[in-house]
Amino acid sequence: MADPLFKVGDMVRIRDAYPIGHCRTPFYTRGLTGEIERYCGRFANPEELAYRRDGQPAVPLYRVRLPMQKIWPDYTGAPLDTLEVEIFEHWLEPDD
Amino acid sequence: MHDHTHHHPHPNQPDEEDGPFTEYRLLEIALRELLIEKDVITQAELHKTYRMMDDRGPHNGARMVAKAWSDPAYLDLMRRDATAAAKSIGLEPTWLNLIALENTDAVHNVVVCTLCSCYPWPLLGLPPDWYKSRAYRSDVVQNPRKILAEFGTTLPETVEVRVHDSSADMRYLVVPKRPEGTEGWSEEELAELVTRDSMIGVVPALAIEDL
Amino acid sequence: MVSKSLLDFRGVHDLGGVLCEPFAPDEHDYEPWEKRVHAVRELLATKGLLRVDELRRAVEGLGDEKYQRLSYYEQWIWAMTQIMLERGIMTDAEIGARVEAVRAQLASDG
Repeated sequence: MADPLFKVGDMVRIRDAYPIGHCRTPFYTRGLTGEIERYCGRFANPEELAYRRDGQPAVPLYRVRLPMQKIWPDYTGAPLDTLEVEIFEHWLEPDD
Repeated sequence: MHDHTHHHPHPNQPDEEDGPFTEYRLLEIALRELLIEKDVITQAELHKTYRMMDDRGPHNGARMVAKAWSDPAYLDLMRRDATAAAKSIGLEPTWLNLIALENTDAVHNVVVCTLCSCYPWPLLGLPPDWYKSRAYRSDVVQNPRKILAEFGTTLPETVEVRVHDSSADMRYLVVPKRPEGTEGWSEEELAELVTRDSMIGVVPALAIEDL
Repeated sequence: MVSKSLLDFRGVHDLGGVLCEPFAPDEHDYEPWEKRVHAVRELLATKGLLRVDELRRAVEGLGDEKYQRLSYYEQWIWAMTQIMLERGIMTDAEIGARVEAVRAQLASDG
């Protein structure tokens, strides 16, 4: 099995995609750029499991840290506030 | 409990506390009875599951937090592998992939699942309604300080509020800050200060004067 | 900013940042029937007969109005029943007949 593509500290972009089926990438995070906070291990793909397939090969899962002000341009909290969200590798691309 | 005399058994728990029999409650009875009749599940397995559920609750998470406050080696294990930390004190580990989130003077963590209601059941029991509510799930990711204020929690701008959206396979346990004046307390005494809501991250642990 | 048509691809359950009713920190004690739903779901999952992802997919299929109106465990029992039908573990006729038998029994119990 290939190594995980990303490492802690890498900047990544969450894909700006809108599939019709079940997925676990929250709508509000799509298209945003953030930093890999940690690698969580590999997990069966929920987009397959939802339709009773086996979800293999398992997909690397990461936690991505996003500044609140990047998610919500009119964010009213403190500038240093952040959000961390779990995103599967096939939803991430390098942010060069 | 009613005396059921018809041909199929009603494997009900006492249901006097339940509200009116809605269509969904009828469906619950029907589905459960059919699953048992078809030997998909058994009554004994169900009772075992009820007992397992009864053993869950915030007292489990509180044990972990109190131990982390007291034992630097355990805190270190919580940081590296919180699932292993849960197992090491005999808690039901099963499916849990746990991450411990430590509140400090610089960072305050709060947990949500915007997509459903993911929650560390074995450690906290079943979640409160507000955690599953549309309003919490929609708003805490956008206005966390407003939601925290609803719980009486206000934080200075110098503290980073870090919201964790439990969107996939990980589950989260917030480790609140250890209350002041608790030096020398035993783990059992400390655990009394650790509430469910403090482990979701919407309030701090209880202060001594709250006891 | 996403265009309006893309919002059609946002699931009813995908609530982050969606304008909802005001927050209130409410809770109730779980009713026995709710705990039974939970227990049956866990048991079916343990036996490999109900993936949590399948359950979520079925809940997400409830549609806007019902997703908002149904309580949490009403959503679950609906979705669990759908999955049992999909998997061929029981038929809709069996469920319908059993619901009516339960209703009749409860009526005769008074």
